Amino acid sequence: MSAGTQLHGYHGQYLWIDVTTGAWQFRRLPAEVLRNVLGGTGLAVHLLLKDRQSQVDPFDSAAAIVFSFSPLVGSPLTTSAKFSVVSRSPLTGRLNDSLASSGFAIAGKKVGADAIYITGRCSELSVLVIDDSGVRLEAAESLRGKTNSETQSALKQQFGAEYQFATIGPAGEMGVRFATISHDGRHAGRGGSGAVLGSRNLKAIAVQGSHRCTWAHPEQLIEYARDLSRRSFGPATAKYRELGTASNLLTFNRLNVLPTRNFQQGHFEGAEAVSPEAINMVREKTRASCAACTIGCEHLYSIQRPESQETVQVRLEYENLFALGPLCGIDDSGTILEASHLCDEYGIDTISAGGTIAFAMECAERGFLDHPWLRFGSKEAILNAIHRIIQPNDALGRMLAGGSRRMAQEIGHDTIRFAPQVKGLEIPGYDPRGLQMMALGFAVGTRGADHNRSGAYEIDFSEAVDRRNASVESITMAIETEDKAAIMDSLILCKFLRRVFDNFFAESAAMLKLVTGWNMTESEIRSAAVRIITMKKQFNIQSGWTPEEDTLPDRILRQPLPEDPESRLSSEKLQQLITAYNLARGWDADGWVPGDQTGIDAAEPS
Amino acid sequence: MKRQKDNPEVTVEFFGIVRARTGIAVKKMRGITLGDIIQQVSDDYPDFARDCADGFQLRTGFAANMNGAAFVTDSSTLLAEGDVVMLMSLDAGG
Repeated sequence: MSAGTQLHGYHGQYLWIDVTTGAWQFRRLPAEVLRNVLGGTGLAVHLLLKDRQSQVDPFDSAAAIVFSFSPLVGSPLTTSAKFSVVSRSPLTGRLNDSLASSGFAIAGKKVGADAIYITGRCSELSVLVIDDSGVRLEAAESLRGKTNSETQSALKQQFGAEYQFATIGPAGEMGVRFATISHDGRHAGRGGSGAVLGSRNLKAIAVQGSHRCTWAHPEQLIEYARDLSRRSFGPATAKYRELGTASNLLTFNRLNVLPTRNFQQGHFEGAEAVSPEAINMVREKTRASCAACTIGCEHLYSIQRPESQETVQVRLEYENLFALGPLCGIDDSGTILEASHLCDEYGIDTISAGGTIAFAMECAERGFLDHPWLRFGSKEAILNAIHRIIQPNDALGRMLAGGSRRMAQEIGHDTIRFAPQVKGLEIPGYDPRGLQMMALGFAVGTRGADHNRSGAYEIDFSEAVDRRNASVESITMAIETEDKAAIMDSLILCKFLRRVFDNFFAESAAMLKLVTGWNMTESEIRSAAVRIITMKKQFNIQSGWTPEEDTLPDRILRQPLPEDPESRLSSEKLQQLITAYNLARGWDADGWVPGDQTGIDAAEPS
Repeated sequence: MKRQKDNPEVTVEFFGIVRARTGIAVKKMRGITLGDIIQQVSDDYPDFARDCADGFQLRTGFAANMNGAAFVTDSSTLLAEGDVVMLMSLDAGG
């Protein structure tokens, strides 16, 4: 494969593939486009907007899914081995950008492309192989129904250690709308990108290449990277390294913002029993990290599988702990770890799985769903429900596979008022009533309720705001967290580095200069953030977004948290925050973007 | 002086890295200000002093929450009898 441009940090081209015909070609990416959108999510959204993918059903063969790399991938900068997967979401119908880490990012960029754009549908279940000899499809019928680890193990044996793989589990094959794409035990988790890949009849993508990008200032880059690694060992990341994200659990519980039993409570009486502090006492634990990462946030616990008695390692993060634990009333760590393992192997987003099952449990307890076994706190129920999500002929499983919004629409009885979702995406483990900057972030998020595209919880956990009574004066701080996330998802860097930087935007400009040679200012990086966020919003507008989507479930807006009645958020209050946010973004009060701000040049080569 | 028995008694709760550095979850302490409490914890737990505090002030990335409501970092914040002071890492995510 030929790459060949004078750019540093980029190949200056993306790889376009039509898996229906097997056709592929490299398409040029002008430097000015890359400078505008940086890479990662920014680049992928640009490519999708350019092809008007916002109006294509994500399961249609004409729909595209983009694996996008970044200028920093392959550099010695810590946590830079990440890739972004972007498409229209089958769960929300809006833009979905998910990120995952490690070797696939490094190997994927080395095929000689800054992004891999896939459209079409294979005639049979296939593996898309991209390597130095070109692009080809190989039959994968023997992998049908295989779990993620089974698939990756089989592919490693077939292709060898120099290849890296992104795979789907049975959930992706079956079109579960919150199916994930997995690589080496890590997941591009939210919004159903695994179902999009499955709808292309693609079980996996295998990448291998030898095309390295040059760096503009290699010696200074290595020196800078060494300093950044040193800083990443410090107290700013100690929590992730030593305890993992799961250590949020007891803090959130104490503040009554731990979503419990489908957001009926903000405090879980069984939290101590499932806290990492308690699990550490009784289970063997190991730590791991992504390729090119010095933080090492992954905490893996040993479990013995109930049927096979096989011992496996399960990653425990706050989000799978909360969603498969307190949200479903589960106070048994073994059950939570087994449920997490099933989700990882089947290729299911743990937040949406937990949110949808918790919703189903409440529907059953209220008599809206004729499955009396679905009870909060039932260990058997949560495991049975996860199994059923991937059963093709199971009526309940098919309902669960659509997520809580679709399930509510099917059940009726106005159950949508307590479906725990925004734009169809299930809400992460931050109760919006007690974290009202985060409430705003959830409501306006382009991919729905999301804690990785808005980091506004940082503002709630500070003295800058009253987290239970947020005011419009704090909007700019919430916007700043979104802007930072947009840059981190496009450069790409792990968000756990964020406290390592004294001035994130200035340091981003510095890193980009060392890699690309571009003299971008802090102000230009900030402008890129605004551009990327506006492009995401415009994708949604083109896909049919209306202002009514920027809201929270009726339950959140009508019921204060029972343990903390001061944690209340009215629809009027939320609307004030949203209006102020829209105006501060330079949009109109309802959130419509004036004019065409997609930045798409009709003359740009395709 | 900071631990005098006529000073307000408060309940101090420890979370995350703060708990890891002190090895305790909760402790009754006496002090007039938040800074008094932080200094006492630093005096009693060297690992906390090294990683979480700078004398009577919390380091960047750590905060105190008063009674489950407001977050504070100002060491001169006055304490009242019966207050609950939660010491924690600020980072969330995951």
